[in-house]
Amino acid sequence: MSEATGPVIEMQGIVKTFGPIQALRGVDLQLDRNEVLGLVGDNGAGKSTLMKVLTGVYQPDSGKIFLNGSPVRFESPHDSRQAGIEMVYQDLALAGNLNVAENIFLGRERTRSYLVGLFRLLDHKGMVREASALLERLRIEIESVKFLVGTLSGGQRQAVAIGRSAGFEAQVVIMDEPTAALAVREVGKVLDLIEVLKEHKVGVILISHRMQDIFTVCDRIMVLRQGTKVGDVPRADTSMDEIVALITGAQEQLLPREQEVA
Amino acid sequence: MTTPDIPVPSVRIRRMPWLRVLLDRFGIALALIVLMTILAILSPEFFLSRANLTNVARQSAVLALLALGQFLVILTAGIDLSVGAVMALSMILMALSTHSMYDWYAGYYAQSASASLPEPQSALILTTISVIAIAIGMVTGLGVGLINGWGTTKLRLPHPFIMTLGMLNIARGATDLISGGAPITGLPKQVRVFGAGNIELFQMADGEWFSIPMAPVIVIATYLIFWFFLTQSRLGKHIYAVGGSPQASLYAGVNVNKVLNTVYMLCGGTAAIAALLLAGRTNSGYPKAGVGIELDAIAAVIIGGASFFGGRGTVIGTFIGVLIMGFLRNGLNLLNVSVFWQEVAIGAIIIAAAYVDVLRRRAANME
Repeated sequence: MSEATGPVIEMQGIVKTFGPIQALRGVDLQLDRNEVLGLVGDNGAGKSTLMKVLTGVYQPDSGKIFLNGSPVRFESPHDSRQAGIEMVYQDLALAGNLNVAENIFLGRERTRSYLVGLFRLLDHKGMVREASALLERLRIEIESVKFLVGTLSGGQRQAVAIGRSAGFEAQVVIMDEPTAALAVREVGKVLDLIEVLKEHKVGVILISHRMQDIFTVCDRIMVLRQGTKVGDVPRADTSMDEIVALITGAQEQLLPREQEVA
Repeated sequence: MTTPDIPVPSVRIRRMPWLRVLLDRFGIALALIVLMTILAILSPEFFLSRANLTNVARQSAVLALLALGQFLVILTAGIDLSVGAVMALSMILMALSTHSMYDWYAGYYAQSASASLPEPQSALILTTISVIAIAIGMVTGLGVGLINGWGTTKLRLPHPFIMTLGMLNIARGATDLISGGAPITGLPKQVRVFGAGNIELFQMADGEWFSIPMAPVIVIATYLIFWFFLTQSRLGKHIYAVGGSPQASLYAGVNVNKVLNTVYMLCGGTAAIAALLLAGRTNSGYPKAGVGIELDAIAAVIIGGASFFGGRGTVIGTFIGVLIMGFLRNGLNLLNVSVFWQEVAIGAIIIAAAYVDVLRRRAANME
């Protein structure tokens, strides 16, 4: 559905202010397909605001967003989802009283027409089948998609949440602290899943405070400080100490040469 | 860093033992069967008689409809305290509009010189009046329900308790204002048929007709429609989702406000159907109808296994909850147990049912 070259997402000069507070002061972001970008920064550095601009929760005061090279404007999260940008929320946004398949299809249920389109009824079987296929494709192992999400472990729920976002036509998946609430042994599974998404040519933006996670899965790391991009560097060319120094301001900036600001 | 051999995330699932699954799914039905068996043993000559069962079915019809609407609301973790008052308002407006339309037409007919006008008592006129009056009653219920929904979705009141408590008083007050506090009696049979009519099925050997009352048939039909709607439609699934997690539903692109408005509107709608049945049974509209019945409706829903936290419960469970309350009151009456003890028993059952839900949540690790 899209050309295979060039960045899937490009944000240019994004500015966003809330009253007197300048949350984003002209931030650029670039994401290639099958790239995992780590987005780090202190609390209030603007990570979440930037992602909310990208998903249409907020509209930027100025700046441009390109999807596969063409300019886009998202008025609501619904718009960005339609365009294939999905957000996995920190607080495991699943309904515990519904089963795995129902959660995966929540808000986009498959229906079938009956009596010449007079009735549109849920296609339960089709959804169960497709949900199972999706989990299999992403190597998420849950015995049955008919299990209630409330009975799953935190890691399994996170996997379902990610699987649900990666879902069907996602080009970009944004994850906000996907491992924050997980037991240590479950963190690895979520990171594995990020690798699987990458294999499936999905671009991933990972927001995390856990440097180990960032350094395990990310190809590139972007650092925000006080609404400004101060770091953008391939993982291979940097170290945890350097990233931490950028986050705290101990080091001024580390950007590709053409982006450097005097 | 290519890892061709990504370890498959392994998963352990808590399996429910079959007994728990059985109790979880059919516990409430078992409770009903046990209750009926006990009553059948204690009162062998009356309890299972057709007259008695018909009586229970008729008496439970109003509660069944109110409980069904209440069930939808409770599924979204809400509550509707106004159902009894909305029923009374709808009933009074139905009765009042019947009377005023009839009086107006009778006056017009008396004045008119034209001989071609149908008589006020003719089937055509009475049917027309009845249809309009029933429509007024339905619109009242649905409209007030929608306003209840707006209390949460537009006014953003902290809890539907507040909005519907306010509406309880408004609707009850409006009912008294409209009626002057006095009942309005005498309704055409086209209105009464739904609450008081019988469906004659076949002639028995003794020449008498085997008939079943209309009211429970309407109740069962309404329950079937709601069941189908809840389990087979997108909106129905969204009602469960909103009850389970409004936030998750919002993130998933579910129009949560639309779901809530629909639910309160349908709850008002079932109150209007209940009003129609009650008006038929009593051949009147009376302003004190359904005082306090909202609490019975809530009780029936909780006894029926729905969770007060939202997102859990079934239409059939609610139906059984209504039957348990109906049979319990009926059975204790047959056994000459004081009305006061009946209230104590029902109170204890409500608490027990809610405690079962707590246990269930704990077992499912959903706390």
